[in-house]
Amino acid sequence: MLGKLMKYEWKNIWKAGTLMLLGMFIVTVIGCVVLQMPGVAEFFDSNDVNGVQAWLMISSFVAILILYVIMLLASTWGMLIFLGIRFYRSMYTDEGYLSHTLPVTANQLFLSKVLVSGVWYLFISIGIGISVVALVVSLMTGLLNIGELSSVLTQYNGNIWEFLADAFYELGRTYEEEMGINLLHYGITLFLTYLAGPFIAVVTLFGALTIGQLSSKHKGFMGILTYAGVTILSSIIRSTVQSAFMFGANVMSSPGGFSVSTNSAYDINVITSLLLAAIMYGVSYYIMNRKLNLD
Amino acid sequence: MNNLVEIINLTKKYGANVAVNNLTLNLPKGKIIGLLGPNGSGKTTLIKMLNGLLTPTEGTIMIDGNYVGPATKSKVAYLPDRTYLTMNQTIREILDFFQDFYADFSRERAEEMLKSLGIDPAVKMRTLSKGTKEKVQLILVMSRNASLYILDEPIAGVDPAARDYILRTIINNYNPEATVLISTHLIEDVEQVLDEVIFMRYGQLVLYTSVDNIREEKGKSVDAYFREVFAC
Amino acid sequence: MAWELDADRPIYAQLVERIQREIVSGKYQPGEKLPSVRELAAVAAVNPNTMQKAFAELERSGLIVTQRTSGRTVTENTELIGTIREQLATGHVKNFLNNMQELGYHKEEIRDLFDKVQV
Repeated sequence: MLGKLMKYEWKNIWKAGTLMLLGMFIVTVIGCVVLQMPGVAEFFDSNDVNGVQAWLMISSFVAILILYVIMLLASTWGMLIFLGIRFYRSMYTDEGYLSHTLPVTANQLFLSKVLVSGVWYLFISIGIGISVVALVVSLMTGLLNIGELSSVLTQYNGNIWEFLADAFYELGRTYEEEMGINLLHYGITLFLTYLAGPFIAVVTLFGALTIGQLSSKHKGFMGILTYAGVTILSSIIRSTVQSAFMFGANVMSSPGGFSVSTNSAYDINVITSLLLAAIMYGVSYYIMNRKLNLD
Repeated sequence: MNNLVEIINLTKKYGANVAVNNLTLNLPKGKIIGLLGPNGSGKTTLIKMLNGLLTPTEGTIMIDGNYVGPATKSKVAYLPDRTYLTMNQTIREILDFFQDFYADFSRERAEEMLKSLGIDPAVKMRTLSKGTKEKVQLILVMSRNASLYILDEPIAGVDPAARDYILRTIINNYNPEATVLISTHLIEDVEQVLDEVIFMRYGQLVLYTSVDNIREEKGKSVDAYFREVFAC
Repeated sequence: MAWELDADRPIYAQLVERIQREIVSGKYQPGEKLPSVRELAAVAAVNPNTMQKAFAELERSGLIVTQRTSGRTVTENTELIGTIREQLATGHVKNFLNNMQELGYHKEEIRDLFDKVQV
């Protein structure tokens, strides 16, 4: 049954999701092309740039930047809103009469939506990640021919990947020595956060919308309000806990102390997020099974 | 076990408001039963609880030996008094959906009924008129081989010819192992089809009897008797 | 399409009357197979249980016979059919005479009226 629910959930989301990814792709490609354009390198390198050319360059960059930021916002926020609306409509409007009379448990309903929505939100996140990497690479290869960077790169015979690998190694070593942060540990934590993040976001949103069902009037609005509240509250809690950890270990004095607390701080971050997701899930389970009241 | 539905001490409270008040009732198999009562009598609340859309405050409901849950939902076919299907799907997609989730769904029967009404399965729900949407919803419900059919105001917003069609479909679908519960205000139109009636008021049972009892003992139609009992 | 029925009298009794009429008038011939309970219930727009009750009543009176192989048929007993026909007709006549009496008609006047009225 869960598989079937997930199948239909996928059917309902994939078109919009694919469209968004396509939009992201197009904007990224435009950005990469612009950064690779011939005039770019010279512009950054030369000292005698005439006024009009400069103005044109800067404004086109700004335009691309704005477009890019809009695209980022639209993708993340847009996707979240879309997923939220889909969830709400299928669970708590007239369509809910269909969903909740299917021969499935409320948990299966909720989980199927969390999993499929989460996966698509993850696709969007990955899309953004790839997009950023692509732009950075374009920027760097676009600047291939200038100044010190070019001399460094000739060492690598223009092999950018080797360059990046070595750079990261150096970065990791520096982090470890100077600040005692284990880059691997940090990397893993970051990766897990990146992976689990979309699911946590989705559970939080769906949970908030479910909590909103408890009020007798304006259930949708209360759901949105709950989401805002929970998000803000969890940020506050997270920052507080993090700060407590960092200062508690007398960071200021020793590099060693800094390492323990910073590593732990990131762990705490992940742990609180997961905890939040678990709470939201549990609360939703309870509400759906005990307090459901469709209008 | 001849009782399809067993309702024991069922109560639903919303704060101080008691929507269903200590209701005890058994429904047998093979009957078409009318659920009648004025607005606010608790009919809708009862129906929601039978369907698992609402949790009782106290008491239990058993349908065919199971507590309300996925097991009962697979045996209950519910027609709510609203449009509950997704509007931007085609009828064919909805048939696929029902077939996927309900083992007792007869796709052939549904397609046959759609054809006899001249409804094209390739169209989207959104494009249909209100009356046609309701017919589609009815067809979906009647194409299931359920143990309990719950129809909430099945003929309310529909023209007289469609009403005849709907009542005929209910009759044609009759199965001595199943029970049909019809909640309606249009008693006159429906009473010929009923075996028994339940009268409810203030969340309580006022009367549960066969239709013939009312006609023989009171010499009145169910509609007339209802007006007498619930006179304002 | 649906049969005209009074909701304030038991429906099954009215169904019995109607089917009797249809048998007696020859719509259903002696020995002819009747539609199934469900089919007739749908045509009449009544509950199949009610139609079943009507059939049971008709079976009791002998007007309908259930045979293992061929289902429900009208009886071949034309004498019985004739008797019932006369019973029904007598009932109508009695009714008629009562009504006429209320209007103040005597039997002679009624006979004259019969000659005048065309149907």
